[in-house]
Amino acid sequence: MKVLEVEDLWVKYENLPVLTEISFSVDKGDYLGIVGPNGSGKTTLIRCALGLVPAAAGSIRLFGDPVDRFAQWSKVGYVPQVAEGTHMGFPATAEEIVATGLLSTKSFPRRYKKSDGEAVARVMELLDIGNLRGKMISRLSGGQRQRVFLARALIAGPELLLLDEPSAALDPTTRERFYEILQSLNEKENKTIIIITHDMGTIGRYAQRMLYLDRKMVFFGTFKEFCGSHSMTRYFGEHAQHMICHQHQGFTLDR
Amino acid sequence: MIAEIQEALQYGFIQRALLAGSFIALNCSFLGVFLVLRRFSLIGDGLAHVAFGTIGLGLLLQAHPLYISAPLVMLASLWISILSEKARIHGDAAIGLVAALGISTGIMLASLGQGFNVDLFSYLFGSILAIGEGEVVFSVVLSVVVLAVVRLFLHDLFALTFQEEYARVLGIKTRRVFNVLTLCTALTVVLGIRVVGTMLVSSLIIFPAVTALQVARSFKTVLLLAAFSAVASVISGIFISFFFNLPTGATIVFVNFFFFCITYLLGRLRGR
Repeated sequence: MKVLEVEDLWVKYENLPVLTEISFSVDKGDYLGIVGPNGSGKTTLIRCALGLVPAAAGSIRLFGDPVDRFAQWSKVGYVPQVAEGTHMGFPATAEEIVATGLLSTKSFPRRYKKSDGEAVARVMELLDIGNLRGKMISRLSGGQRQRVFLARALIAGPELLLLDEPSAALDPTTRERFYEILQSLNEKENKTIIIITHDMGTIGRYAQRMLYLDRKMVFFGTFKEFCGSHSMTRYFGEHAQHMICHQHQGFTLDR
Repeated sequence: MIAEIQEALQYGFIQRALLAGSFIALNCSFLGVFLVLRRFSLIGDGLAHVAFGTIGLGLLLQAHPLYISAPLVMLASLWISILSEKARIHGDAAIGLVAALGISTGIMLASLGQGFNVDLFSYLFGSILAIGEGEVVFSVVLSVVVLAVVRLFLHDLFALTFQEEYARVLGIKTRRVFNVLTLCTALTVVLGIRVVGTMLVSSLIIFPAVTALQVARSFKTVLLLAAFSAVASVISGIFISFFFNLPTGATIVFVNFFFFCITYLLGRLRGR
């Protein structure tokens, strides 16, 4: 079953193309890593896939429906990229933020039920942040906040998870734990995962497929295919490809 | 003091002022929390400027100014929303643009209809103690409508205020919810003009929210504290102005400022 289908997608800002001729699809249970240098259009691609950015040409289908007519938002969990300091002073607890993830399961007028509180507690325990329930979101560290946002994305039991650089604010140990949680969700619960990251060494160990983006699709395939690809050797140079394929942690793709 | 308050409560104009003022203050406090957190709180000021113009129109047409203002200010709020979305004018610039047109309209109409200048300028500073029974009913009914709408959209407004893009991925029609927020604000501003006047109505929206934000540790407590501080300010302001023969609108603003100072100090003491 196709969860996401992107066909000949073009996106423009101020008439300048930022994504050109993008075509790929993601099946149920896939784990796709989207990588590429800064400004390569990774975030734009995900935002476009969610209907947040209009396409200049091409089509996007989510669970078989055109994204502009898609309505089953409880099937989608999203962890957006959040710049440090964005929520400074916002007066909400981690628990209140996580609960908003349930709004996609409710129709207007949206109200919480008693059992929603239990769901919040359960998902926060799953991500080892049960102790943060009453803490203000603005007082959490970057890593804690990222896990709160993952909990919010998971609480409605989505089939597809889209994460935009979720490990950027995490220390190496927390980052590994974060990827293990994602892997477990992918393997045990068959959740489809699409993750944007600069951390190619790490994502190569977890993702089944990789999409290398540089305003256009440079590569789409398995990590093994990436490492064996002569065109990628020509693109990155032998040393860089070797570094990536031998999973040297912290190696990023900013060229 | 209690005996004096009891005596004051015997007066019909004090009862009317307390009733209408409390409901309007509740509206202002709830809407203010969302507007302040979205950094859109000056819309209250901008819409009050528009209201100045529409009150002028009401006086020129010899109709009740507030009944003319309510629909026109609501239209202006939608115009601000459309300008900030479609015309690539940032929110504050869109507010400034519409506000300037509103106040210019008021001045123009005041110049045309020379006989009502005094009436128009009385709306600048409010006159809650002079509120009539019909206006009380109008204010209370519309306040209850606004409160009901805010309750219906409460969680949508929270999601929109925290992260608009994420709210869209939850399936929330964010533009529609934002328009509901600005329409409710427009209605509340028109009602608030009777309490503190066009010059000060934005303070009813901003002060309770920023007062609550100094000490609250959850969104729920922000709403409750803002509501408490708004209603307490209006009630205290009415009594203080009555006992000391002070202008009511300005007194309410000073009481609001007093509450803000208290929570600011409490917040600093708690190391916030």
